[in-house]
Amino acid sequence: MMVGIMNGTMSLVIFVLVIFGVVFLIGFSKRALFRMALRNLWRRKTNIAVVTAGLLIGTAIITSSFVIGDTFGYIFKSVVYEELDRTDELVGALGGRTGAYAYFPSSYYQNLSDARDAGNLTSIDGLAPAILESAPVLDTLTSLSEASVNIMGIDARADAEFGFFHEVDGDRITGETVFLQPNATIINERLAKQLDAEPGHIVLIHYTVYINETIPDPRVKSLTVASIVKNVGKANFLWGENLFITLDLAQEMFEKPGMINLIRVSNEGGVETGVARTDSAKEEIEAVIGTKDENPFGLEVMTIKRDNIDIAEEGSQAISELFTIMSTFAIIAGVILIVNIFVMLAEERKSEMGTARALGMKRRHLVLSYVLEGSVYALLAAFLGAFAGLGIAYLMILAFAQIFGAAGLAIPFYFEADSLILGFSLGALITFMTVVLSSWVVSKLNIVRAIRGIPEPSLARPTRRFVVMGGLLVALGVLLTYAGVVQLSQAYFMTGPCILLLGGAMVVSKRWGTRVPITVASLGSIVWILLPVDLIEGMTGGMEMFILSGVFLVLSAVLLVMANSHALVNFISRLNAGRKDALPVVRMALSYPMKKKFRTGMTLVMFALIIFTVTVIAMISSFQANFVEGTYEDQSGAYDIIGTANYMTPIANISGTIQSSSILANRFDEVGTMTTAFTTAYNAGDGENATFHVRVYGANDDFLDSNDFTFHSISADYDGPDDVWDAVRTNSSLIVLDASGMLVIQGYAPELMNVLQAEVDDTVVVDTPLGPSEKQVIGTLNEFYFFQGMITSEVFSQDQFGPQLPVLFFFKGTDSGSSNIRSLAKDLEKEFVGSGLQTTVIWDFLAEQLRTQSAIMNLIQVYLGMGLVVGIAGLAIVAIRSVVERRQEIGVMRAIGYKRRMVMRVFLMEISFISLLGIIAGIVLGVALSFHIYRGFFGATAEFTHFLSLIPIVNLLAIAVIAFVLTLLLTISSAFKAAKIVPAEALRFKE
Amino acid sequence: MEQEHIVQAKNLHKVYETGELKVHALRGVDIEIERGEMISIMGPSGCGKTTLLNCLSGIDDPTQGEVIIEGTSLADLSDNEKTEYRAKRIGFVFQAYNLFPVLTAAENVEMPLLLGGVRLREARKRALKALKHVGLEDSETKLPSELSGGEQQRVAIARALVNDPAIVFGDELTGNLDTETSDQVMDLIHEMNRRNKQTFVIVTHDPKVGDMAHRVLKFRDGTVEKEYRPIG
Ligand SMILES: Nc1ncnc2c1ncn2[C@@H]1O[C@H](COP(=O)(O)OP(=O)(O)O)[C@@H](O)[C@H]1O
Ligand SMILES: [Mg+2]
Repeated sequence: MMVGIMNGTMSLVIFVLVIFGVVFLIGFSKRALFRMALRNLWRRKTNIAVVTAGLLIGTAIITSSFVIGDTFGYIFKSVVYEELDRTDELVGALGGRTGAYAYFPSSYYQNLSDARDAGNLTSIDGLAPAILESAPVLDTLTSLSEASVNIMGIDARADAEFGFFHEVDGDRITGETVFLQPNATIINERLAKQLDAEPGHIVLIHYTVYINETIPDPRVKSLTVASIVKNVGKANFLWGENLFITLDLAQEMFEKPGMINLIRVSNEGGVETGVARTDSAKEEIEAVIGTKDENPFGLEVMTIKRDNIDIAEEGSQAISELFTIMSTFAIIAGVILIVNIFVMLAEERKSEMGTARALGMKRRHLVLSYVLEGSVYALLAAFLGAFAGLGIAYLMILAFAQIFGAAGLAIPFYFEADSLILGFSLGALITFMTVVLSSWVVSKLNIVRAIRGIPEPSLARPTRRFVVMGGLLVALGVLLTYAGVVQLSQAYFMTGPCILLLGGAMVVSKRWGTRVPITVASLGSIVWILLPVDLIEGMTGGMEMFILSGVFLVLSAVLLVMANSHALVNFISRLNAGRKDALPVVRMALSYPMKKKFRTGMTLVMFALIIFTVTVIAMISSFQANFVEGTYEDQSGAYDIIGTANYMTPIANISGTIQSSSILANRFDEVGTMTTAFTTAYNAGDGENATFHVRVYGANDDFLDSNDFTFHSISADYDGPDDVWDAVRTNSSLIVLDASGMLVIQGYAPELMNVLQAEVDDTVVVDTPLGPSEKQVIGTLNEFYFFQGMITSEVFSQDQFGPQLPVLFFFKGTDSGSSNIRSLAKDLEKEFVGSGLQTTVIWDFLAEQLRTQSAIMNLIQVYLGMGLVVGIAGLAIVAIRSVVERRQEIGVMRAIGYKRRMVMRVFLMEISFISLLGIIAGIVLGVALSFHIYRGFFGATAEFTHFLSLIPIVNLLAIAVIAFVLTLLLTISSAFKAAKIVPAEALRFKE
Repeated sequence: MEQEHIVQAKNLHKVYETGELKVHALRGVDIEIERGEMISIMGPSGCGKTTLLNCLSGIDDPTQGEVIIEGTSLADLSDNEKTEYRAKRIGFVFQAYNLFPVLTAAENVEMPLLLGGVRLREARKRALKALKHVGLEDSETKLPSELSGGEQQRVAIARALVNDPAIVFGDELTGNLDTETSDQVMDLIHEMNRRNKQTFVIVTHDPKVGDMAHRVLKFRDGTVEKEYRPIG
């Protein structure tokens, strides 16, 4: 897993080793007990298989979520290492007029280089100056172009410290000789593939030089492809389509003599290890050039590799956590399964244990013998489980690879031994603790009752201890509720009252019996959790709420059912009253689960929890689909195509060009355009310290008149969208923001996003070449996909930021049929190839997003579905056990008139009953809880009828049918066995 | 005359095969039981009494020989038909009572009626009457685990008799009871036999119980050793 957890893993492993060591040492000192434990283990061979299978699932799930995290961590980090290679830091200043890097004198590089020669930069083993710009490039032979190519001017000699270029035919070159030819360029394979370029081809770079920093002057530079190099090492910089020229040539092209815009820095150490010296490297460089504030060019040491590695680690950790949290339900179900298994194993050996106790075996010896047996199981299961987890993770990664393979992202399977060990240890520990707990419970049996096989007395009459425990729960509930209110914690505030209610029910049960109070308490809890209102503003809670609500809902529902079992049985009996043979079957089938409350309750909780999770995921998936469909309007503004031109090659009069084009004329209803200026801004309310990079979009009149982007909110002073856009057109201090800032404010996007956070009626201070300028936010859009920043008019933008031409385009076709739109998009790219216009068909783009999203959700659903295995295994064990323990009763049933097929139906019905009850409870509760999630998704537009329409009935039905059929398949053999029991034989023997 | 014999067994043999071991539990048993007769089967443990009972009641098949009940040969009946016949015409009382532990006394008693297709309401009424007969009208809602051994056996008898079976088989039905309770239970059976003219076939160890019958069959090594009518 992560580096930091290593110590944690080691101590856990040692802890686990010590525990099992001690257990087995005790086992050897009490050899008789150990032998008894082992013999019990071996006696039932089928039991071993079933029990181990049941026990290993928890470990498998834990391990798989770790390994999935490993793989993603590996992929994310590989991307970083491969795109940065030896580069650890960049020295430069963001904020050139195109949003790229600003120019500064190359003397800064010289100063650093001198300092290094003087031995002052000990943390650094590489230093190179560069000019980095982005521009469209066209291959003159193939006529293919690429819109955003990184044009990199490098000093080949200094660059040698950043490794070689690897030519496609295998030679390693520094580029020095290649660059001796005039106008020679080295391009990487990625670019070569886009252009279909080969050595010797002439390529054209389209770019713009600003005369006196203001007047745009478009240029074209013709270069010869001298060499094509592999996408490795420095040639893979920023994972881009890269074109390398000499620094001198770059300075000449962009008319920046003696200037550069970037210094690349490599730290002492290798590609992966250099990161460790990031801090000292930054310090040493700042000692030479000053900090960002001290430096007249605002030069900054950007710790690009460390930042990206941090993000990669955070990302993979988030994925691992997501899987861990989601699998919590399966793990809880696994624990319940273990308890169930052990309680049943114990029941099976009850009389034997009673005899042992009568013969003088102490209680703790009994516990010990169980613990010994359980330890063997735990170790065996955890060992197999860790490998099963590896297998599951492998399948998941395969599936992910399927989903992302289309996007060209290779997903290799990768795991660290640490994860296996951690999964094994955690699994062994959880299993062991559960086994100890169950052993202790089981050993509390009454000797006489055990020998004679008399059932333990039911809890019909609450004991004193029961009441006292209730009192304690009441106190705990009050405490939690209070803590919830004070700390604004949803988790406490939700669970507190539930515990309070349950405790209260236990207290009053002395007077009123258990049925009514438990019914009231469990119903109360369910209503409390599902209550669709926020009682207290500002409460916070995360993913843990999902788990807590799930567990509490399911527990309450099961309590409710168990408390009213009699009514339920009567109800179902009455339903079946008319049918021949039905009543005896129904009565027998339902009475057992309803009388064996512990076993049934546990099994129900287990089953319902799993179905609950799968249901919630299905619901979220449906919300998401609808959300994306709904967002079409929000994101597209009713346009069909979005186009972006390279900042180097904006398009002056796109409408005019379209009108005079033979293929494009008259095919558009509207063409909106935007210029883009890069600057910084802060929210006046937050102060200058929260300054962010922002884009200022200058929209043309067509856009302001005719766009249909929807608003998230509009200042009260304006009547509607049209009014807002009119105001933006006529008043330079009024702006509209996209949704990204809102999303961060409302917590839908991470703070990491680094965007200006402002709401309607906030004042924003924008940095312009003329000085700071105050703007008022009069509307925020729902849009965030295609542009992020503030919108003003093109005229005002030019007034403040100087002459600019549009780079962002919005097209609405006359014929909006999808095939026409697609061909329009292609024709646009062809026509504006010199500007590197890239088009996106909005509907296709959003549909693709949806496809990927729903594929991931389906995958998650399948992953959670593995929990079903736990539930079904649990039911199967119950079924097998029932047949064994009721052999004699089956004999009686057959004797007094149950036909074979009736006996079979009794058992099938019993299993179906538990399974269906669990499925129904899980689905109903899952759907009900999803309403919370629904409100989160749709916010103000949430409506109950809309919610109902989003319930994925087919999907849920499929879940129900699959779960049900699987349980039947797994338990049908037990039912067959029951039906085949020969009455005379069954009656002969007491079990 | 044939009709008077409610149960007729001809040359019954039963051989259990467990691995290599063959146990010859019945070695040619011939029995005729008359309607309304109360018959007891006595003999040492392992002599084949239970096996005989099982074969007579159709819950087990003889290896050889024939059982005719109310004029029908059990061999001609399918498993389902035999089961249906048992549900309607036969009652069972076991040594270990064998009530369904998860059903209340009333639910246990009404089960044979439900199996015979009687409607729930009617079944409950008759079950309560049967419980009253055995003196347990107050124990209707109790679970077997809440009843004493004697009480449980009385519930079992109520269950065996509730649907007016033609024959009741009782295997060691007093085996788990103390003398006093045993007497009560036997009195009950005696009364039922007299009042309803039901046929009783009772296996017992206890000579006192055996002698309450009209006829006693002494069993030994899988055959009827001797037969006598106690002077009651
Ligand atoms: N299912 C069986 N398999 C093997 N042997 C059996 C089986 N049932 C009974 N026996 C044997 O048959 C003999 C008669 O048994 P049983 O009819 O139960 O005797 P009783 O009821 O008189 O004690 C005994 O030796 C017993 O062990
Ligand atoms: Mg016997």
